[in-house]
Amino acid sequence: MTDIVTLNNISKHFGPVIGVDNVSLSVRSGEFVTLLGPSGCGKSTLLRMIGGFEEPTQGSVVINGDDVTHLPPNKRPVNIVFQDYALFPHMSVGKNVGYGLRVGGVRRTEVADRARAALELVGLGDRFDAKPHQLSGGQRQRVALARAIVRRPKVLLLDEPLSALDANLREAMQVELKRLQRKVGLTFIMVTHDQTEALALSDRVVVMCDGRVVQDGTPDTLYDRPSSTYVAGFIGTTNLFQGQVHGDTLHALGQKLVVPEGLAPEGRTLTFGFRPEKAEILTAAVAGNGTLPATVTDILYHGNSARIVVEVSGSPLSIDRTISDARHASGLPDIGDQVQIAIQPDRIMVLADEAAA
Amino acid sequence: MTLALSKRNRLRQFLVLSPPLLWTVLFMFAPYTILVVYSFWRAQFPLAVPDFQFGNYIEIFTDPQYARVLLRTAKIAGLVSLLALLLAFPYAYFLAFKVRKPGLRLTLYMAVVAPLWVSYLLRAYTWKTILGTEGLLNSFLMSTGILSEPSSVFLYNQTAMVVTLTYVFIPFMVMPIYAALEKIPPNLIEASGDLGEGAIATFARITVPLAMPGIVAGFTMTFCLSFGDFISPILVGGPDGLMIANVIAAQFGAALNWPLGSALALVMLVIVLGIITASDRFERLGQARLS
Repeated sequence: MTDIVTLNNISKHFGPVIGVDNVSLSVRSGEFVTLLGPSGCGKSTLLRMIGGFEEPTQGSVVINGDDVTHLPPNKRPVNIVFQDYALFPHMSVGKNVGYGLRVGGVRRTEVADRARAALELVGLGDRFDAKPHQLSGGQRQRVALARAIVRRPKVLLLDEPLSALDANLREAMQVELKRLQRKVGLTFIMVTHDQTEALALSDRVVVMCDGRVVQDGTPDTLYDRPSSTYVAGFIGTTNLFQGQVHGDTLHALGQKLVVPEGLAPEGRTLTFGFRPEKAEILTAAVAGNGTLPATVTDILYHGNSARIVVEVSGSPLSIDRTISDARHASGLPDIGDQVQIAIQPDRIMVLADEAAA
Repeated sequence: MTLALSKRNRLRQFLVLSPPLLWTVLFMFAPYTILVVYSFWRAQFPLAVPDFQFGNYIEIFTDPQYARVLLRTAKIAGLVSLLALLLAFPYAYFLAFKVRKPGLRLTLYMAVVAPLWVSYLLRAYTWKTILGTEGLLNSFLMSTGILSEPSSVFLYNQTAMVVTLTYVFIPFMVMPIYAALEKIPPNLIEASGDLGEGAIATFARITVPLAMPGIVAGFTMTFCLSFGDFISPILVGGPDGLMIANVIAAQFGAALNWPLGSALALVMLVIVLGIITASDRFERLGQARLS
């Protein structure tokens, strides 16, 4: 597959403030790429530079082989779905969707036909004559999508597309967005601060912090092999602790853990971590090699799972336990119980940043 | 219990509302009623005699001089509104979209609004000193050598009135247009660009339609205020510059024909109310489309 969007050493300064700092990124045709990060990390600015709403201070934007760095939005083969949809309030839904087609010199009757087809694609074929204010939030979202894809752009940009929807609707729209992307085969570049959304939808997630890319990888790489404590902390929950590796032993939390040999450089103090579901809680009686003695301090019941907070040598660790029929809630330990925890050795992560000496 | 409560509430409501109610009745409805009554009377020395006849109205609609004055007034008010619109829209647009600094925007906005705090008479009079034979314009033209002696063509004509009235009433055009433009979310403009439209098409398809309520409101206000103006014709208008308000004033003054004056005032009132109603309808229509 070919690269449809290439960003070469892009920077954007707002006066003394650096919004985006020397970012390079390639997006392949048909890919669903998500820019993920907290607010103010530069992800929206990056998206706006691809759309043409901001001009980079440095670097270049190449879309479909053409350098578009200095072209205005109306000269770029991309379309954007704005966070608050930006539907034109004085036009009907159909006119909104057909708005961009009149520019291309498409005939009036064909404009209506194509707008209707795009609306049907998002399941709103019957709201052609409605006004935006008569629609629900989710419907407006779909109209915005239809309006953006009707022009058959090379790339569809989505700026926090689901953030204005309530939780239930958001989940439904996630499914729909993914389905739509498969159906139209477009390249999607989405911006979000919601890590679950990013993991659920993307082929590739680009995590940003302070205007820079901190990690770029598939969702499972980011989850299983975060490169830094920042990424580990931003995506999912991670138990972090410091330790040193000697051979196949990790000295941490005042205990000894079994790890694969060569996990980290010998003897250096580093940050290690594991995900809450990668450890098990055993009864105190089964203490074995590499298990850690712990005290249960809190239990948070989630229905299909429970998060059990334990203390190991004074450090709190979160451990998730799935609750299935075979093993229902009554099987949970009680607060104050002495237990043993076993962390899956190959699920212990080494995080790149230097630990404090 | 509930009944007593509601009765007490009603009493309180009445007490709260009665002063403004009294004011309105005394100073709005009573004078209008008198005006209506007078418009059917007959003029007779020394003033008028009670009657019920349509002579005053018939005179207004048959004597071409009244139609002429009404048309002239409408023409001048229309020109003032148009000129004010052409000046105010770019200014408001510039303020809303081009001026980035909030402080500068406020300063420029206040530059238009602040003159409203100066006496209207004074503002109109200013143009007499600008356009007069010894005024600013003549001095300027003479100092640059364009004119060798002061000209009197600038003052005492309809152009002078249009210029003066435009200056006096332009804040009423800038304010609603600016308010309408400021309300347009910037990302609608961006969305239009994203969908392939250039700046001019975006302006025509998005900005102007969304600013329309402000344009209509500004046009209505400027038109109605100019339509009823009677100071500017006196200060800077020429012999052909009399407007309907001057004619009405003359009926109550020199001509001493209160019944005809009352009838004229009512005709004018109906015209202005008609324009306001039409504009209100339009705005409601727009609001229904927008909200």
